[in-house]
Amino acid sequence: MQTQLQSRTGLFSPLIVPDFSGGKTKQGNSKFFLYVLLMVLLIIPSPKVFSQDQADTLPTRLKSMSMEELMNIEVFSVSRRLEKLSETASAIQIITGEELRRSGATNIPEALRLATNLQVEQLQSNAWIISSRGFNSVFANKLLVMINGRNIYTPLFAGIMWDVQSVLLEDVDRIEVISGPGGTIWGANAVNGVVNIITKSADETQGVYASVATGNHLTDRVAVRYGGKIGEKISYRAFIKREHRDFTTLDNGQQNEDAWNLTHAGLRMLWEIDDQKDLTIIGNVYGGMSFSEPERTTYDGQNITARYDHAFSETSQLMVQAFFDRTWREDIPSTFTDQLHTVDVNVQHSFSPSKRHRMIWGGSYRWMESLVTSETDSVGFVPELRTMPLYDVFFQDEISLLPEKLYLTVGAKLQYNIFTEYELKPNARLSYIISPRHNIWTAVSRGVRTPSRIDVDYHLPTFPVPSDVPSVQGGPDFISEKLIAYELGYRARPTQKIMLSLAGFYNTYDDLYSVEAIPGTQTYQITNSSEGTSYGVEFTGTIQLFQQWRIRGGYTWFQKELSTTAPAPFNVNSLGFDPEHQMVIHSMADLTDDLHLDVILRGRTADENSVADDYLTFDVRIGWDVTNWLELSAVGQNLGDTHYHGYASGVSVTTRMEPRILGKIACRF
Amino acid sequence: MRKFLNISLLLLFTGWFSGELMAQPPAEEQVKAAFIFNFTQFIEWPDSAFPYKGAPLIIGVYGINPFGSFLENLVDKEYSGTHPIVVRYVKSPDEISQCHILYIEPGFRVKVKEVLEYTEQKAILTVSDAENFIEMGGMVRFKNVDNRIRFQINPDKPNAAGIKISSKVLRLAEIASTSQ
Repeated sequence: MQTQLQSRTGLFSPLIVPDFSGGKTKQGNSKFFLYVLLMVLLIIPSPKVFSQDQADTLPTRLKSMSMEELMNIEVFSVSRRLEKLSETASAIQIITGEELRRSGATNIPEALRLATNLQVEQLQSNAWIISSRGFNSVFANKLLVMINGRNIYTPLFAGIMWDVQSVLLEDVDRIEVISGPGGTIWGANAVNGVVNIITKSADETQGVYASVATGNHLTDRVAVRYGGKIGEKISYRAFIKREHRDFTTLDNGQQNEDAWNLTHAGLRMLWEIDDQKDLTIIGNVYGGMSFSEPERTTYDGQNITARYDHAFSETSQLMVQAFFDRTWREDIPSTFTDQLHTVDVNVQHSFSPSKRHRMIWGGSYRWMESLVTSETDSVGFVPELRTMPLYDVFFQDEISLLPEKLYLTVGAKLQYNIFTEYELKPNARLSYIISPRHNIWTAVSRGVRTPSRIDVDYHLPTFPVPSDVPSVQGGPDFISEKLIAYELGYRARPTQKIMLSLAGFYNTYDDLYSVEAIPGTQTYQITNSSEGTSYGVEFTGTIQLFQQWRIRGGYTWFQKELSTTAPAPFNVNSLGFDPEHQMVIHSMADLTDDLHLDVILRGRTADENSVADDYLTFDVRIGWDVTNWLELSAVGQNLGDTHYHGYASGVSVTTRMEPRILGKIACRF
Repeated sequence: MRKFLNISLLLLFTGWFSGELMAQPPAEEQVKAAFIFNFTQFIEWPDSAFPYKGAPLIIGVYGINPFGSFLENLVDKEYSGTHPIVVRYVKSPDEISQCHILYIEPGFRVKVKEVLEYTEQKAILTVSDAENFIEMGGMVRFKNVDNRIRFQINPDKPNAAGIKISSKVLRLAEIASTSQ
């Protein structure tokens, strides 16, 4: 009875019909010969077994060296960032650039798989869905994601188009992932989590990096980066990268039309004006196409960010940032063409008026202009063009109730948007430092997911129809989805080499998305008649077993109960496809000085509502530093279960995630 | 389940082999400890810094100890001139003022500036790898450049405190003077 359109595979196609049917599970396969191959590696003995270096003890050796010699020794270090984590009263995880490069991840979604507090699923060659603490779906809209502080979500559905989000992974400094509302300073969409992908500053990436890689899925990847200096104070880097990814296969053996490519060039510049002031400029230009039928889908984008940092003193810092972003996509399968212009200016100032207070305040103004046109009038956004200004101000104070022991952080953010006008997001966090080795924290926050265009402007069809003809006519009265989050966490550092963290949360949601007909008519609207609760526990840890072997990983347990007053055919469980159990273990081992073996074991249980089954799979990366400027590496992904991923859309699409291999040559001068 | 066991065994073996069979590059902290030992050999403190002639030269560590027992083992039974070298883990201003070298481990609510205030006017060589340590008033700052340890020295402060740093050390340091 609901109007259905023939949908083909394509990024926008699930938008055509919000269909709410369930799915079934399937079995996976395994690849035993790969296990054998890996076992063989164990048998290769390390030549160092027979070295005499072990005879002298390290203290004696180091004491006998002159200072010049000491300055030439290569050292290994555990990331210092782990210390800062303990200061934050939230469930934050940091994936360092080093861990990222020791994982075989080939793009941002694969990098985010390393965060154990994120749910990352690949649907097709060019489509991923990512969320935190539930509600993962093609419409995942509760995660705030930024690249270098630039918000990358689209107000079309408050989510991310992952295929065009690109960074040169070699130059990533770290990825910060906070699960939960995260605190006052984060903006719109920071309901269930915040991700910030931070690249190294220009002065840290000097010289040449060049790599080529190819494999059975990711093919023809080339990347070149050059970093240099202009005078003493200005450093820059420029890079260009290009890659092609092959199609995936449906469960019936048929080929998906999802092969695609992306070319991306970027520039980053740092001007160290003086010891206290910095100016950073980051620019990106990218474009590509996917091989959809009957025509190719094309997309491109340009963005530039400028950031001024001024450190007045150790305790007073100012940041002013502005960015301009344009994205464009002509999506053939869904017949939509989408253009977005964003201009954003934001200011943050942190200062300490007294020993016991650390305050941050700030504000931002964002202007978004979204134009979405459709080739057909059977579905579309009305009006096609919408201008959406967004304002916010925030204030936060970290109060030292008992110095070195008890800290209370209170803050609030006030936001103005054109759909729901004013929204207030207060939060309070308490952090108790039991000892330098462990601390405990708790937080209460209110999060708000403001309406996006798909909630308000979605029409099917776009022309008026009588009320006895089935149609969807947007959500003119749609208000923000609301969250109250209660969190409790514990962090321990029992030794220098072990870090553990446990976070529990209980979330209550109100005014969640639903679709229901105006009583007595066949006119459906997007409403807020759903609600629910979710709760879970996130455990993560990092262990430096030996100097050459590090293991990090985590396990998440998640439960969700949703209900709705909207009648059938709306199925409230379609709001998220979330597993009850999820696990990632990431091992990084240096077999010798030059040979590195990295293994990622990851798995999750099936969720009741999709065709995705239980899976346990693993990725392996072997890296060999042939010389100090040449590195060869080989990566295998999805080597365990060939798990299927399906998503319940108008047409059930079940895609195989088959094993992938990749070989790479990288040079660094 | 069996697959899980297989993979776990794989990880375990990989780690065992790599850990047991190969020579290990030293950790950052170990090389820093070696530098600190060198400082005790090539730096002179004024006589007034010692309560009596053979009094120990005290290396204080403030904040979470990053050295484990390595620094202690390194300086065990060693002397700086006539002074036996000892390591102490310090917290209070009193303990800090008795040190001759103070290593400040940043992070975890360590207010570096405050700690440095306690060392004012005293013959204490302050060492850290905190960012902007020199600008905040520190004397020696360790840096990790490309996985190698380098250090910056601001010679004005030790000079003012009566600490004499041998040219052997100054030669290798990046001199960062704060007097403009």
